[in-house]
Amino acid sequence: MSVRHAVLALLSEGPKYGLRLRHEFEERTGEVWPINVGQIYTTLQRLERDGMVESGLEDDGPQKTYRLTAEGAAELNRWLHTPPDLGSPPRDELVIKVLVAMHVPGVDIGEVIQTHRRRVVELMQEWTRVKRDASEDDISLVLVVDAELFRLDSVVRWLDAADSRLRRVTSPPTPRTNPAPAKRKAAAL
Amino acid sequence: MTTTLTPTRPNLTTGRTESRIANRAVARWSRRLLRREWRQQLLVLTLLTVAVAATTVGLGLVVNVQNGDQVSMGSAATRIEVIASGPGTAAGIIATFQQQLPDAEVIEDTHIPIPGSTASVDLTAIAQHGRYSSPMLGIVSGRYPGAGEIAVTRSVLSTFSLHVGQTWTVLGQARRIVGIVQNPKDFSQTFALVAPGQIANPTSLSFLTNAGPNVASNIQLTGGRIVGIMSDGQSLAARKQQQALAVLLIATIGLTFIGLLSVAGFTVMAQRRLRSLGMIGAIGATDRQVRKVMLANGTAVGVVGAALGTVVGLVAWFALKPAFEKVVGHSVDSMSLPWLDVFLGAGLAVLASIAASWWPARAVSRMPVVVALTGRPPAPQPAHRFALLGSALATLGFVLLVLSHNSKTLLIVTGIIATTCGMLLLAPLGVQALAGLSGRAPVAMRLALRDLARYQARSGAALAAASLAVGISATIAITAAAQQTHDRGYTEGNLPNNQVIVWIEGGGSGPASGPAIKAAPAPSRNSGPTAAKIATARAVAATIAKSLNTTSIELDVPHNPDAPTADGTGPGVASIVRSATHNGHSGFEFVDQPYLATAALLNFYGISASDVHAAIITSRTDLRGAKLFDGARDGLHAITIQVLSKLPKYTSAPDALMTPNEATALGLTTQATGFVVQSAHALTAAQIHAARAAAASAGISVETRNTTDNSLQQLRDWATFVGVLVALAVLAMTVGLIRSETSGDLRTLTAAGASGATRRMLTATTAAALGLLGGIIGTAGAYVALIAWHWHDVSFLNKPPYLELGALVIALPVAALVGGWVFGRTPSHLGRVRGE
Amino acid sequence: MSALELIGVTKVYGRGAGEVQALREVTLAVEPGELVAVMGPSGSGKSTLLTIAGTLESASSGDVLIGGMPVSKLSRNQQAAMRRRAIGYVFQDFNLLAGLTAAENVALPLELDGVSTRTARKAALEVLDRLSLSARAEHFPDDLSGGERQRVAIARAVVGERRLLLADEPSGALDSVNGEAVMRLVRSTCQGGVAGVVVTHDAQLASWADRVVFLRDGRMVDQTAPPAGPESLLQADAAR
Repeated sequence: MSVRHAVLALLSEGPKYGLRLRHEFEERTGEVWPINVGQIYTTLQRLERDGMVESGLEDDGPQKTYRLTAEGAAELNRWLHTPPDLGSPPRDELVIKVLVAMHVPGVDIGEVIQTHRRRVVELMQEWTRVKRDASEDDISLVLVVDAELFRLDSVVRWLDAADSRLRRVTSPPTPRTNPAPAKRKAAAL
Repeated sequence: MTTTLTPTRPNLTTGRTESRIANRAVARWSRRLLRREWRQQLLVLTLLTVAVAATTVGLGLVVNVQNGDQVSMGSAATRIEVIASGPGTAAGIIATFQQQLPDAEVIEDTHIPIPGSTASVDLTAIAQHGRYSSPMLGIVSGRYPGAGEIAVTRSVLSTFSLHVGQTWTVLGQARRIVGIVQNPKDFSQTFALVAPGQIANPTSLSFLTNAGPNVASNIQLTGGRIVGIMSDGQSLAARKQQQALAVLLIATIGLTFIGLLSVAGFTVMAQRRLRSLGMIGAIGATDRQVRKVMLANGTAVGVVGAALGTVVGLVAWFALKPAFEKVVGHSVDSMSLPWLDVFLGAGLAVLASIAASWWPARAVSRMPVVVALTGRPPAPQPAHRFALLGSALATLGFVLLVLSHNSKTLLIVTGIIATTCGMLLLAPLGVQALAGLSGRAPVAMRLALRDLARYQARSGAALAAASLAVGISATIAITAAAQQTHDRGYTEGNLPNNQVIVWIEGGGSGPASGPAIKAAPAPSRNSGPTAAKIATARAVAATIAKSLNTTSIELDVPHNPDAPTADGTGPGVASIVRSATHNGHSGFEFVDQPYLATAALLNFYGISASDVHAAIITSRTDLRGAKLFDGARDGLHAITIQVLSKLPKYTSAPDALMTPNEATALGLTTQATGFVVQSAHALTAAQIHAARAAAASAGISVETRNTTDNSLQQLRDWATFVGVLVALAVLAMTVGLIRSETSGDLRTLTAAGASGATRRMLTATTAAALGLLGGIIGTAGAYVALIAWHWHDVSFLNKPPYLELGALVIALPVAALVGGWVFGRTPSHLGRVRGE
Repeated sequence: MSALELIGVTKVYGRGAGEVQALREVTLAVEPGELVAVMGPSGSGKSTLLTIAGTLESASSGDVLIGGMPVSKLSRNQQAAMRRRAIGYVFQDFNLLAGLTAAENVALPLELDGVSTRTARKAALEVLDRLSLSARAEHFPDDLSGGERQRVAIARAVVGERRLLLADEPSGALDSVNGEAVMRLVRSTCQGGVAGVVVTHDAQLASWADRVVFLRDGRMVDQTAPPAGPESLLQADAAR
């Protein structure tokens, strides 16, 4: 999520001054993403330069307030509806590690996968603990944690899929008398 | 909720109060289950009701199918028959009896001849509300006759062309007909009734008394002699024993039937509940509690089914009574049911139902909870293992039935149950054979048959129930058919209904079968009709034959010209006899009248001379060892006898023929005795009347069929019909029960685009398969049991009722197929998933 | 003492060529108050592990101790009593008795155990209230939504003084939000001192546990490390 669009979103609720923007930003993202005031002001300056916000002084205070321009509102709307770039695959380190492990002699690929799986699940446990301790009203925190959990979950699923694919291709390391009964057992469970 | 784990072990025992509460909870749940699954319960309940009702009706039938001695004895213990030696002696005889036997009730009798016929009608005087005779007398309409009045049976009205209200001159006395009567114990009895004392000169007197048969020996009579004493003593005991045996048989078969149906029903129920039972097992219900759910169900269904079945059975019994009376030919007291057995049967039905629910309950409770939770039935046992046990059991049952000698109760009961269970265990083999044959059948048929094979427990029990239903009706049909060929005198009557015999003199060739004590002295033909009489009879026969567009055939008897003529009993006619001892005197008794095997007569019965290999040919199978009495004193000769089934089996027809060669060898001559006239069709009442009139005008008499009795045939048709109906009903219900379990499959089939026809095919195939196997197994089972039962005279069974058996084996599956197709519509709740 | 202890448990199905080893030498201890998740692919033996722990099946070898008591030494009836009193079992497909209302379903284990109907009902209503189901107490399972049914099933599993809560894919048939609600419930139950074992193949659900055990081909291959504080997570992420 870009700070730029987060600021636009916050200003869509009404004119705000810089410090308040930072406070609300942290609050909305569940304090998961700490941000400093400098980052906020840099962003605001760029936005003003691009004509998306305009600044003015409040009548009753020394602070400079910012408000959304029509152009800014249009940009915010456009951004909300634009799908994120999911087309090009990210260069995932985990994928690379598994691919490499396949060809390194003497490495138990299943064990490698399990190590990663365990680590990811441990991470998920920690996130879940965050979610568990969060108050019911803190919906934004829950959403952010959910996003993280779903992402990690997908990693686990990928690991599971990789595991079973590899098991099917390579002959299983543990000697099994007959693979057919195992399948039947699976059906019974 | 904040409990800490206590280090002590949890107490795992349960107190009495606790278990009572637990039982209540289980009971509540089973009640709810009953309510939720009432549709399925309804099927089981109906099956049970039908079975109990059938047993109740069956018990009523066996107890009432025989009328016993009440036909002629009423409620008395002894009947003493006296023949008055001459007119005017009756009053003295009656006085003597009343003095010696104060309770004796008198019945006066004389004969009213039917003009032109060998038959006669009894004129009887019976008191209106006789002490003992009241069960023998029923007034159908009108009233009891007073002085100068008479009441008659319907048959008398038609024989003499009378009507009620008319004045009828009987034996020289004019009497007004005031009512129609009958003997409720034998509807076929023909008689005219007057008040006591209204018969001027009774030829015979009967005294009914409660005293034992020995009292007669103390009575000194003048003016008459005692010719017969009938006592219910021995025959009653024998009849009671026979009846008890019949009741036992019906009850055993009925209860086995009930048991099988219950097992089928409860196996399906248990299957349906497998998951629920697994669930409460997982929650921590004990095995006993799990069993209790099924047992509670079994008890509830058993109690309701038994009560309902008894009520339905009684209602059916009352409703069927008139039809049943018509079939058996005597009135039946609706209340004369073996009540104790009926209620005992109902009680046992409850027990059977409980036992039937216990079996699957036990299987479920023994199953690991995890297996129960999957809701899948355990893998079927291989069919051949059952088949082995089944054959063993069936063989055991067979042997037991053979050993029972038709009387040892324990052997009979265990024999029947073993045979039935054996058949039950053989059923899966049949199902599997069918499933194996279905390889290339359309998918719906294949699926239906494979389902039957897969769910052996329920298809096996359903099949066994259907088989038993078929078996019961097959047994009745086979037995009735055998009885009909066997029991010649009773079933065949004196003559076929399309024949007239013009007797030159007297009539009849032998005594009607009946209690031996009644056996009159052997009737004997007079020494010889005159040539004129023979010519007259020949002319009458020719007239009758002409009116019927046919010809007459002369009947000749072998006659001994040397026979003495002194004692008036009439000499000369040879007869077939058997040595006998009577009242301490040894002698011989008349068995049959042989006729001469003339070429015309042999031709008439389609017998060629080359078929004849013995001196005597006969249709009777009971003449072995009999001798020929040549008509002269002590003239007994050994004879060779050949059984020829082409000869008639009627008592008055020539059922035994002597070859002319044999007659010549014994020095016997030929004597004409009568003429047979046979019409192409049954004689009408008008034709009989005409024949009688022709004979009467010539001073001779004719004999025609004297009964219209074909009750066994009727009973057989009835039994087959009812049996097929019950089998069909049982089949329909069991098929419903089985198919109700496969609604899931139906849904899948529908989703896969199966048409309505496919779904109908499923039901129709299931029904037809069960019907076919049930028909085969049932009939086979019936034969096995009957062969064992009649082991000592298997020839008894040598005339199977092909038509009825064909109906069972072929028509039943066809009806099931059609029924399954018509009624095998998709259930309306197809979309609904099972609740649990 | 552990609430549940599996010692070298092996389970073999079938015989001869068709023999299948569902569990091999599994050793696992679950402490009171601890929630353990068992993860593994289909056929890894995780459901078998649960049914053996729940005394619904017996182990081929090895021993199961519940509250320190070896299950193999108990009769079938004593095992049933154990299921009524000490073990709560939650199934993937709810397994409520269709003929009984929600409250009656929850009260059933108590009643089977001989608790008077009134007391059992009171306890059942209390639990249902805690799970915000008091309005549904008199409804039959057929009239409840999937989430509600599973909550009733959990209520039935925790009613009374249970020491062990076993759940087999308790949210398998539910959407993720309902599934999470179920796991929250299981979690809070365990915090009250009950030992819990949840079998699942869903990492998100497993992550509610204190400890995740990995099963593969009937063998316990791995388990997660004891939990670190949530702060570490934030720091680690902030540093990224």
